Amino acid sequence: MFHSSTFTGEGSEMSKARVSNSIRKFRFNHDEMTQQQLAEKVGVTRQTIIAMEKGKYSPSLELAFRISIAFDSPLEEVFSYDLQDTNQ
Amino acid sequence: MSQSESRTIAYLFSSLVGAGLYFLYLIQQYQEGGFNSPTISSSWGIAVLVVIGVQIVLSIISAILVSIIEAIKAREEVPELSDERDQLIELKANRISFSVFGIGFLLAMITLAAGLVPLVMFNLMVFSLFVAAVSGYVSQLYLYRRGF
Repeated sequence: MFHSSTFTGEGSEMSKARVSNSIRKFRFNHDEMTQQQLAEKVGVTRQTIIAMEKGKYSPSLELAFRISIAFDSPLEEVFSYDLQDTNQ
Repeated sequence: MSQSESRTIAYLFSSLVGAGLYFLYLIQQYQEGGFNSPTISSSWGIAVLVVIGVQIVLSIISAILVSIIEAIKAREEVPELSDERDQLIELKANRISFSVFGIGFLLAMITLAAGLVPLVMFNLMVFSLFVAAVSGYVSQLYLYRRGF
């Protein structure tokens, strides 16, 4: 039903790394929480939530933790990192 | 349009007005033959200071206006919120701005090395300051629109 968004990190070696998130799915599963409600809960703007869901913006570790706490789920369930695509 | 975008547009507008004022003064001086006046350096300095002052006042007024408009639109007081994405966008825009000014500074030094009058160097520096500010705001807007 929902597609996890994927974004590419910056940096020479890191540019192949792919981080994806399931924020949209988690919002839906949490009483259809709005982007604004999540933004207020984690202390960012709605635009930042939109950018993350679209896969345009990679959040800081702190924000990622705050989001996973807001969903009461482990970090690795909300965010995932595809190691196979990294250029090691 | 987000509050950050509106504020960036307001700052861009005040930068453009400042640049416009300065270059109007430049054209006026050129037409009146002020370039050959012995007091040109001091009057140029005063002009730049006045433009900076006007720009600061315009920025403050436009930021207040944007806040009022946003509050009216939202029908309540809009909290001033700047998150990590805003700060990163600002940093990226600052980097672009510094790079543009660096190029302008280099060109200004080249004009001095080429034996042109210091007035050319000075105006090129002021021009690159305006271009740097505008390019910073434009890139900030672009990054806001794109998401990051």
